Amino acid sequence: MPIMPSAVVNEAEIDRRVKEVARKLAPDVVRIRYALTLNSTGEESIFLRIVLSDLASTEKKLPEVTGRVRAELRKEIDFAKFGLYTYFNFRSRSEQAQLKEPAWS
Amino acid sequence: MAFAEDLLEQAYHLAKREKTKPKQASLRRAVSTSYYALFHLLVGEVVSNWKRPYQRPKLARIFEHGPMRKASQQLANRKFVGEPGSAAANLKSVASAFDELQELRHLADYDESEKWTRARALDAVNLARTAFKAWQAVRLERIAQDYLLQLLIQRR
Repeated sequence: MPIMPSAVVNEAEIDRRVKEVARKLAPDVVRIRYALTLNSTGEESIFLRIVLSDLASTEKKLPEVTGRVRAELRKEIDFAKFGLYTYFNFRSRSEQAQLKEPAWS
Repeated sequence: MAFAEDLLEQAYHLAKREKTKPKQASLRRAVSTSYYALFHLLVGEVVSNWKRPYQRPKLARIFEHGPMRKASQQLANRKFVGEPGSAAANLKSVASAFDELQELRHLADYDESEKWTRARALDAVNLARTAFKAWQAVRLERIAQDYLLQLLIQRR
């Protein structure tokens, strides 16, 4: 899928802030990857792929952790300012170890 | 809103099926059902404002996913002035959950390259569940009722 010029212009800043949030939310957050692309209705979007620790991915902890990750990323990055719709995708470390998808590595 | 709540419960059930090796079909249907739970919650709220109950099922059939999503995206990015902060925050969380869940539903239903995991499916259920709670807190506010109207009249 194509990468949009407006997002490309700001990608360095987005990248820096995403990394900052990942560091801040460690060890619950193992890493955050993302893709700047179009959503299913053709709008510029960011798809965040967040790998969580296994402890943070338990059913009991998951709602609190994912809520905190969403809130922190939205606080630190004004996605609307960059013209991006935002979509969050979570996976545990052991789920990723099993699936071995490069986009999440 | 028993139907919407039943769908949410069903989404959770699907996300939790197969203890050790969840089937992609279960996880995908959990994600899709989470979206439909929120969709039917909001449609049910709109049509409950219609005075004649026997006409409500027919009214419920006119809703379209695309315009509802557009109305939700516009609201999620709107700045509310003079409204209680908690009401605006609750409503925005409902609207952004609607957008996010509709996107996830699209991936879950149509994109065979996507690999789904339990954590991701449970997050979709949690997102819908949080939206249900936020909606209960804000549903009687004027801004929430205006959102319902926009879901009905939004054009493509």
